[in-house]
Amino acid sequence: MKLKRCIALGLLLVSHAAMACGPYYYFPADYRLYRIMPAYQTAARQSAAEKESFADKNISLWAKQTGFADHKIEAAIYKGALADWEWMAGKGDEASEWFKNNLFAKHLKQSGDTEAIELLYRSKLYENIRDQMRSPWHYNSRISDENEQMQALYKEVATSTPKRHAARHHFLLIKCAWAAHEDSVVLAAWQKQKGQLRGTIFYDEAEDYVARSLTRLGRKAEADAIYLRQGKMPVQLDATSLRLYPNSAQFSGLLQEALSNIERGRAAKTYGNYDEHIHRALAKKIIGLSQQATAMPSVSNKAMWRYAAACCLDYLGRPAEALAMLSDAEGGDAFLRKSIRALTLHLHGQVDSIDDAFVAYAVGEVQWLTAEMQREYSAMPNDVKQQVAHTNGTLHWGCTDQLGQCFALSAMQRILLDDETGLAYRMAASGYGVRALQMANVACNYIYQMTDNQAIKKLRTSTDSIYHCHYYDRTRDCDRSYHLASRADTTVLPDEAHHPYAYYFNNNDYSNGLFFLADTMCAATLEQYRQHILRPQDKTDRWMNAHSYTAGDYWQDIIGTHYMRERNYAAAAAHLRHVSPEYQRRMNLSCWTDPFSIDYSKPSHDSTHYKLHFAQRMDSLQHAMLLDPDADRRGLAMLEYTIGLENSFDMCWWLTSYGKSRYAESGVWAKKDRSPECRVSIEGSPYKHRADAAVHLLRRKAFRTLRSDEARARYNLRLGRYDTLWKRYTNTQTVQQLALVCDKQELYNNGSRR
Amino acid sequence: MRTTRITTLTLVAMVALLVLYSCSRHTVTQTAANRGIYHWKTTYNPTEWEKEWINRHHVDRLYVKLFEVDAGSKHGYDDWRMVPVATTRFEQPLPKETEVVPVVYITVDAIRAMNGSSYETMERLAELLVERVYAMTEEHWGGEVKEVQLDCDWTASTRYDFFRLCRRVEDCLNERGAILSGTVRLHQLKDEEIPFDRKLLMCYNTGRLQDSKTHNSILDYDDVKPYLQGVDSSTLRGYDIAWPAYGWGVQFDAEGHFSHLTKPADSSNRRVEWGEPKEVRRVKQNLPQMRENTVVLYHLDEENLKHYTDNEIEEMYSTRPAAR
Repeated sequence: MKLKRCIALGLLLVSHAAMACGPYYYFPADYRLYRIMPAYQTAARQSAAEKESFADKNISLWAKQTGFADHKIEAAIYKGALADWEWMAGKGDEASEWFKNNLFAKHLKQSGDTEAIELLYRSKLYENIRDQMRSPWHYNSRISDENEQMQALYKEVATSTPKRHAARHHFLLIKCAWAAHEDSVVLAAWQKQKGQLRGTIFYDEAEDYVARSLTRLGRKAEADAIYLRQGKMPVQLDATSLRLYPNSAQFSGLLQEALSNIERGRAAKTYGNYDEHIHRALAKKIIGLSQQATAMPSVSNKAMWRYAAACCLDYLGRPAEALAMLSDAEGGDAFLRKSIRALTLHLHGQVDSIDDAFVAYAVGEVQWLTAEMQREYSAMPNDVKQQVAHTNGTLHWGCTDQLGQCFALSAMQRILLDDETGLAYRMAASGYGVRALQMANVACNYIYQMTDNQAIKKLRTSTDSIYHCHYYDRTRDCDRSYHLASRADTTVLPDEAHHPYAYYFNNNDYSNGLFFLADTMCAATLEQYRQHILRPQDKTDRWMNAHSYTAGDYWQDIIGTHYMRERNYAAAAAHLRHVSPEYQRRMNLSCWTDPFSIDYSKPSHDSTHYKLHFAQRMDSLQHAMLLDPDADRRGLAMLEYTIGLENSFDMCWWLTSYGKSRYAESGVWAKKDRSPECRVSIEGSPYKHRADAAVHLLRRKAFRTLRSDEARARYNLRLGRYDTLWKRYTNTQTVQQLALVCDKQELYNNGSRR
Repeated sequence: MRTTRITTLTLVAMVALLVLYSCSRHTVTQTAANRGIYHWKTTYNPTEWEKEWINRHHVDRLYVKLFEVDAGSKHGYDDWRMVPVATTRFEQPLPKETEVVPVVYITVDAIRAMNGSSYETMERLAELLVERVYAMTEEHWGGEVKEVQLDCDWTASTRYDFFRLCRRVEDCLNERGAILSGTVRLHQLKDEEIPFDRKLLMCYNTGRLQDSKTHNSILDYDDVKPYLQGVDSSTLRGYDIAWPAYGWGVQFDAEGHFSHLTKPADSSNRRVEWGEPKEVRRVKQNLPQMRENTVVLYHLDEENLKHYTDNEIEEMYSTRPAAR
């Protein structure tokens, strides 16, 4: 079963790169806001586009020289493999059939034009070696295989004598010499052959390699002179480029690239960003350059520069200055205007005081972003739509194509739920918890509606979206509860997924930004939110509910759990009794231990309403320890209560939280900069601290409350303190009965279990 | 007859003494750890002082970071899940007489980018990583690589993918006759499945750097203490250990948020931290008995190392806790 799934997943990875992103972890900081263009183009891509235009010219020249159609020449020269050209040059045995049948190739082979064949074969070999050298993994050492191959090729080309294809030959020689690090040869060949190259399509290309060699030799001024003459001065984010090419189209790509790096660096802060000083310096540089650009009359797209500067100011923690920068950012294309509006909300969210007027503005902007989400989705080609539906628009590492596709969704997540600047958190702290939850719900869940719940339907029909989670043995050390989608229909899920210890999870319900936000709130706020779901008070409530996930089971379970961490068991029970057994079965929460046992290995047989029964028992114990007229019963109820309370924050953590991590540190609750499993862990929370303190006090009080030795014996027995029991309460019925069951004294002498 | 017996007894006693003496010498040799130091700069160009420092302290293992591995998408490589970045530039060859342990730092982003990748992809990337390490060491050192170290701050969410990568790297290295070693941070110490042939316990960067209330984020025994609970000698058996021999200044903005790091001497620093020998001593005294193979200091930098006296360095390199 697992093997099949691995193979299926493997095939999926191979067949469709964009879908090959596998499971992911939700990190609010991963979402992106700084966006100048929908899908940014790097300088490398632009340079690749320029190279393509040289290929076109080259094909046309061959067509002119040989009379063959462009597409035949293109296929043979550019699509033919090295093996095909080895065959052509008589150095290989086999070529692909299509190559043999290509008219241009056939003509060359039959013509016996060895000069052209050798030239094209060597060009192909050159490209092949260069491809290997271009790999980011290639290390450019003198002794690398690739370098040795290039040296050999360069020597071969240098010793051959051209006749009819001299210009092509000289160009190849210069390329090979450059790639083989023979810079002096490049310069000498250029001096010797530039006369022959002048007026050909190879002149500029060859001179480009000359400039590269000059750069490598440290003669940058001479190299720049060539670039400048060719109009190819590489545009960089600096004052010189801005002065020379104030309206270069490359600026938008370069700015986007820089902003993306800065924003990625910002996200990486969560896991230790060693390049922060670089990003800060880059941000300051962009701000300075933007100030120059906006002051230059010749710069036309000032909005873009202002926007870039505002992003950088925001990154540097200067939102008020960023807002001032945006106030004059007029113009730009439709996408930039959308970005400016989103950034404006983000900045106001940090600067403005949160009051009714601000919340009304924020609601309006969230509604606008939601409409933008719909517009972006409708405009997507079908295959992209499918990717977005499959992944719920979440950002997947290695899937940068999607970065540009869902701007509104990404921006909304970042604006509302970011760990550092999240507006929803700020609103919650200012008393607008319900609105914060509503907006976060839209940001996290509207995508399901928009995509017609395709991700969930996929869950129903296959296991593609449920990924194998290779974690530890949960029976020993429950790291995290990976819940199945509460929305998923369980009837067709694989059997393994139903198992309480199943290693399957998804990120739909218990690891998203809404859940993280809700996890920081008190039960009363969550209950208040539930009231707004049940009884909308205004038009905004109705709109929010219509665009959110409002299922009763989901919210009742969360509210009940929150009441348990607040030790309000009556309220917890009132909510938990409404969580349907079907829903409970869908959660792969491993409630495997008896919460009133001090023995970690004692299993619970309470498969349904585990949480509810616990809440009810704790509620009755709370009553008994306060109101029971008998002191012994009061004391023992108190003890029982402390056992339940301690367990509910420790070995039965699922009663008060949705995860536990062995990596959770003390204080992890307060810092939201850790991985999801730590984030939802109750470890280190004030609730746990309070519970620990209460257990400590109540347990002592319980003993003091007890009046009879019999009750004290039961107290010690309950805590497994056999040595005390044996030494001090030998004459009690409790010990006598225990002795009947077990007469091995050494068992009693093992010391206290707690 | 009696004389013969006495002679025999004397001989036996002498042989026994000799055996005992040689055993004791042997034990001393075994417990004397190798001395290592990290080189963690982007350019390898040690100063004369640094070279002399290495000789003075008998450092016989140089842990050189060769490059970092990061998520490809972060560097414009959409078709590569992870790529090498920040490759160290060598302006001098590595010393032939010193054993070099190449180190590759793997970012958490790179591991996250590997999430969901196939076995073949993982295997290919492991091969590329190892090939690159060998190409670089061959070019700049020429010695036989016996060990390659991976450094990564993996957590629960990245642990699985990192371990997958490690196993593939280990296979490639073993084929070439080398072993895989790896750094283990304190929070990773209790993980029972760490897949390195050789482990190095990193005893620095133990506190919360970005917290303005932190006393010393480089090394503070109070930060280390919780991680040592339940750790015994058997857990640490065979571990190497690394201590901090560096410092920095920590800058905070007006609102008290962490801003950036500076040189320790910068007068505007709000907090200056050093790897303090007294803290190293405290941690050593409270570590379970361990026979380190190598004691490593972080890192080779004249400006930082000059902060420490030779005695302090020797104390950090010593494997036995200093007297209280």
